[in-house]
Amino acid sequence: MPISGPVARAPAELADVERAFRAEYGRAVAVLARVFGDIDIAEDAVQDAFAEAARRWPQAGQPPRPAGWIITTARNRAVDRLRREGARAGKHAQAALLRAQEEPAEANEAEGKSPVQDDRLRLIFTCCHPALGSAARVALTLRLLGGLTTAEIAHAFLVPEATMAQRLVRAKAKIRDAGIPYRVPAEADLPGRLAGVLAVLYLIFNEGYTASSGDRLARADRCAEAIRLGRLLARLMPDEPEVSGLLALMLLTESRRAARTGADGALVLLAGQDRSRWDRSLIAEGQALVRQCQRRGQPGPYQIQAAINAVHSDSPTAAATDWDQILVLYDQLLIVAPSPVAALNRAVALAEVDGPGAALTVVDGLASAPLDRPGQGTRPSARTWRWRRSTWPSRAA
Amino acid sequence: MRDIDAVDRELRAAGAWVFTGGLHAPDTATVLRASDGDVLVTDGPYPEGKEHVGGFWIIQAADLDEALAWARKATVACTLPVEVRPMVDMTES
Repeated sequence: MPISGPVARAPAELADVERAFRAEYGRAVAVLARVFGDIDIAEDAVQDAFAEAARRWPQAGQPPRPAGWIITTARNRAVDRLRREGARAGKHAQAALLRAQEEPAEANEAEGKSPVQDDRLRLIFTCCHPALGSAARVALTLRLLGGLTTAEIAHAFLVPEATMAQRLVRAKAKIRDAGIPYRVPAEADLPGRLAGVLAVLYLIFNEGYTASSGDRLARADRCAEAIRLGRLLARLMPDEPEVSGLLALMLLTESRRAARTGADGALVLLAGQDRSRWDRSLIAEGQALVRQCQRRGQPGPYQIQAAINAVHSDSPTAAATDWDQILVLYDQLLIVAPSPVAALNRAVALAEVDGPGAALTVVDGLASAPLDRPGQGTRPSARTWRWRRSTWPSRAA
Repeated sequence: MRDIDAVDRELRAAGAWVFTGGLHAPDTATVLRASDGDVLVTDGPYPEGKEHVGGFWIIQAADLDEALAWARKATVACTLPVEVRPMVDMTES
């Protein structure tokens, strides 16, 4: 089953509703979660509104602002239901109703405390809160912001639907009971919390890109969803270079998808790939983002990994790869985010530049010695993807 | 201890402080257990374990992030892990 929307094979007249669902579900849930202060109420309301749309749009036609229609309908439906249920619904529901009568359903511009106001941004920080387990963060993000059904998420992660449903119920209960706020974190907490959000998006992407199990279509959809959320986040947080860096990294990696599998379905490594099958428009978009990042001069791990991919995507053949530049970038990566994987990849680059002997010495020393090889004396190259030294933070920073 | 006092003072000044308690060592514990209409009294602790609760703060916080900001100060002050647990709101139906 393709995971593209709530209706597996929609009749033509429902196509508009399905398109609106994919495009607007996350936004509608985010707005309603703010209005009612409760994710379950928000989800039920938005689902009611889409059900209503499926009934009415085919006859009455799609309204001029489908998103606004969905949000208004959802809000009214939820208010009606909470009123009808009255005191029986409990204090929590009554509080939600009171809150909804005071909260505007439009994007709230007045708050001013957080750097960005979009409701989806609040919700993504809620979904990726460090108080939630990693699996719960991924599931919530795909469910609430991606609009994937529980069945679709379960299918994508190869767990029974009941298991996924329970995971989502528990996560939402924790958000409610522990009081995880719908808020973009204060400036002081933002870097750490944003790193958590980016990690969730990259995890969703990598599940799609590197997973060895699961059907191919479902895996491709996970990548597409991660990129869609990455684009959204980049639009909402234009001043965060690591957000652009992650988006660029995903785009440049995704550009090689078609070339990654041979006719027999086996994995084709970078050096053996047919580069004519790389997606040039994704490469152009990714490279443009990397260049933007470089102008900002605040390199971080995602930006540097994107830059490494930009070098590969520049090279017409594997043999023509500018390994000098890749080596410098790995040096930079090891300063901001030292890891055994990065150290090993750097050794591969070093083998290309200085020969296998030098690389083997480094690999032998990986287990014991700390890594430190400032990139020096590299030859100038046709196109520079590395950061200028003047913009580079010192190691002590 | 001085650091913990400082956190308490800050909590009080912010109006977030409700109660602070430090506990004696676990071998001072006594355990009571109701079973078969009787109450059994034994020496503690319950459960036995390498790690035990050494004390607690009860604070008022608007949401988890606010509580975590206090817990961050608390764990630095007492140099031990701090677990944050929401209390059931008894006014909720």
